[in-house]
Amino acid sequence: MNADTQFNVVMHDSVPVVQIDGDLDHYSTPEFRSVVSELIQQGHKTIIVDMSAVDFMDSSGMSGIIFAAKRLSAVDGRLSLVNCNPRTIRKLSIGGLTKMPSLLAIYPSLEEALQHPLEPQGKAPT
Amino acid sequence: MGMDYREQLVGATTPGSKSALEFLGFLQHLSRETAEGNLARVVDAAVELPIKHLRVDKSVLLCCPALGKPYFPLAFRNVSQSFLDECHLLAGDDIVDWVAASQSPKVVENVPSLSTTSASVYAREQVHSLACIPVVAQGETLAVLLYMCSFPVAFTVWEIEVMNTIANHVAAVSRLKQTDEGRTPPQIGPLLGRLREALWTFADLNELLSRTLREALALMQADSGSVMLHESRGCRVAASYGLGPSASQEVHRARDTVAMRVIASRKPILLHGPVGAQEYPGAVLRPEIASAISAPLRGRGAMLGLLNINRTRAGRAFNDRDLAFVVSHIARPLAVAIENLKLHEATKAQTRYLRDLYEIARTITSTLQLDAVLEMIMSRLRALIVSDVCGLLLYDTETGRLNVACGCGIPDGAELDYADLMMPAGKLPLSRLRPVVVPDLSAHHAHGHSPAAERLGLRSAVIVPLMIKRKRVGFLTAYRREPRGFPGTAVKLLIGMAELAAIAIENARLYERQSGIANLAQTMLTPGALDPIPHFEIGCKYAPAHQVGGDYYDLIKLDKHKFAIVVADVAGKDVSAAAHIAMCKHSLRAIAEHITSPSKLLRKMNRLIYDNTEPEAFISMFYAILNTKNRTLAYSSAGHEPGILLRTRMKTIEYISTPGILLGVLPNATFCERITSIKLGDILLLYTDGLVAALSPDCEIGLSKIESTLIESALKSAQELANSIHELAISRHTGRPPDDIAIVALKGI
Repeated sequence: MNADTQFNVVMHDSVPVVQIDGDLDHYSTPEFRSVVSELIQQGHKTIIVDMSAVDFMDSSGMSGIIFAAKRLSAVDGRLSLVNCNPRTIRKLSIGGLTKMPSLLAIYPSLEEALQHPLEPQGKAPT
Repeated sequence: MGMDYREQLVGATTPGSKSALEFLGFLQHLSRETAEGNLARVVDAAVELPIKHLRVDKSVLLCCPALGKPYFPLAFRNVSQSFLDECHLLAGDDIVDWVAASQSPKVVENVPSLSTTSASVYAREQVHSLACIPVVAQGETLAVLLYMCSFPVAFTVWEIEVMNTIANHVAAVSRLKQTDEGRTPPQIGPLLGRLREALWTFADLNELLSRTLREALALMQADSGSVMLHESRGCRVAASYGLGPSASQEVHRARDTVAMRVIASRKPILLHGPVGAQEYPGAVLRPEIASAISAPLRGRGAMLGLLNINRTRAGRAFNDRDLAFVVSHIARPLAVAIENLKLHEATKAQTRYLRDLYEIARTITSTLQLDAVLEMIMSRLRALIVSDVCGLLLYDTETGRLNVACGCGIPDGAELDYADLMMPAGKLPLSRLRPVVVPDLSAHHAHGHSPAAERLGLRSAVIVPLMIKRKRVGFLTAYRREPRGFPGTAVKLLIGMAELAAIAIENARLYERQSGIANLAQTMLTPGALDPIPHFEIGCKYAPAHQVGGDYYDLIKLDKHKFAIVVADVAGKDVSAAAHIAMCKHSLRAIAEHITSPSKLLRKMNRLIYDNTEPEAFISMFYAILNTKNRTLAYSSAGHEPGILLRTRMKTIEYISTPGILLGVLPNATFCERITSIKLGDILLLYTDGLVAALSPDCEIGLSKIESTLIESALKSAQELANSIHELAISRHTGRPPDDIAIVALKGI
């Protein structure tokens, strides 16, 4: 129920990393959606979401993640989540989202996510 | 106390020297104001500065008219109206009285420990510590400054020094001190003292004027006189003495009268009778008056009026010295006193207005039920504005017709009586968006022949349109039996109240409308009790976090022995979630009979949801088919929380689930299914994730709580079990839990 969730986009070698600081819930998810939509509109196909400062994610938050994952997969891109806490991992796992690498990749750290680039920017996947 | 407080001040700056230096700037400013004789500003600063710069949070400047007489507040900060009203109770104690009498400051660190009469007054104001500083001029205490603090504080020497300095400024600026300067003959000292006392009359303007006039006449050995106040209509006699009863109604308008000449020239006039018509037309002195002084009462900027003092032929004629004396010793201080009184009145009125408005806002926004809002508006209206009848008219949102929403004041009044009285307000042209004050109803065109107003004897009215987004939604009306029954302050308050009322009414209507939709959705979609199943008990509990929840469960009879049990959680918590539930519930009921495999059913549902909802929508679902004949349960899960199965005989817990993605995420998702058995006494608990989250931030702990409750309550009925688990979940939260909770318990019997 935190209305003050902050979204920061940091570029790592042309890959945007969305850092979420606060809860990803009913109140903050609309902004998350618009941040991701803008990045996709700018042509980014790989987006990493840093969840290290997300304490709580409800079903609205999860719908935001699914929205981003679906949008990226529609353009042959991929969404990666990094630094998820055990609660978030459990939620994603029960939802069956941890076993869908084509839709959503989950890495324990940002470094690992950056080591697994989907494809060079702007090119179709091989 | 010979120390330089400035040095102490800069040296003792706890919060930072910036504020101390700023304070020195204020003190310099205070000195300038004092030098210029701005009493009002100095008095204002005297109550303001310590709050800003010292450890003081409330302050009052109490005037001492005379020892032993009640005190009254001249200026104040942050104190409540009730404290101001009770100021007179401070007389006779050993703080204010002692300070006034001894002319020394007094500090009380622990006010609650006092046992004096004033202790309760301070207690109600939550004063813990205080400093009381006398304002002394010419050996006489004019006032005391009360600086109060709501927490325990020991004022330092420099703080007291600063307070003394402020008190000295107040004393210095008082023009009453100037009155004492110079050539006061010793024999008129007591008379001057009485005049000063009269000048400190703050309760009422008329009393101030008539008392001062009487004392001034005594001082000047005059026989008659008057105080005239300058108003828009001319100069009105506000107080008179020895001029007969007719004088009190006089208004001087003509520009060439003495009064208007004094006002125009701002200079005093000395007249000797008989005054000729050529010199002052329209101002022929009464034959018995031999000489007269007309001195202007000069306020800051505007002329307030004039003071007239007359002597008959029996006495010595006034001379220039008398004129100068009247100007400097009577007229000037009187002008200051009038201004101070007006300032005091204005501050008091403003405080009252703001307090009332705050009170109204607090009350009428405390509920969203329209009826309760209307009732509260009426009760506040009656409490705060003296009106005999008042009411509210509102336009019907559908028909646009004006109706009486509520009213009060007519004895045994039916709606029709209020309609008769108030409906003429609706005749106001639609362009009329500002309040209408009707001083006399019998003369007003719209209300001219209102038999209701006539019958009830109502003479004056105020009609304030209620505006929402520049649209008129109704009227607030108030009536009185007296003509001109609503002073400016009442109208101002009514306008403020109408603004708040319009907002409260609009909010209540919006809420009603929205809750109407939500209620409809809720009644249609909220799962209720489930039909009984042979050889099984089924219990359920549903607690939405918002008005429309996103969880649902259902029981569908497939044939004689087969029952489908479904628990699902839809993303989101608003009306769109309700729409998804509706779609899900009805599609499921339509296809369940034809698909006997849970995994195939979920596959079908997934496709339906994927194709018919927006991309971010998803539903988690646990779908099971219970066969009562052989006590088996075939189940499949689409990203849903696992079911918890208690094997009662073994006292073991099994988690039943199948891997599967949420419905609506992937178009061609497949699901798997498993079969288990529900034996006699076994309990299956199906639920949504809101239950786990409500139990503990750590889901492991949440689940273990459920497990232990299941084991403990194994002998209870399925419904009792669902209830106890729900109670366990909500006991951690004061209000509603943050997410919806749905629980279904199935027990083999």
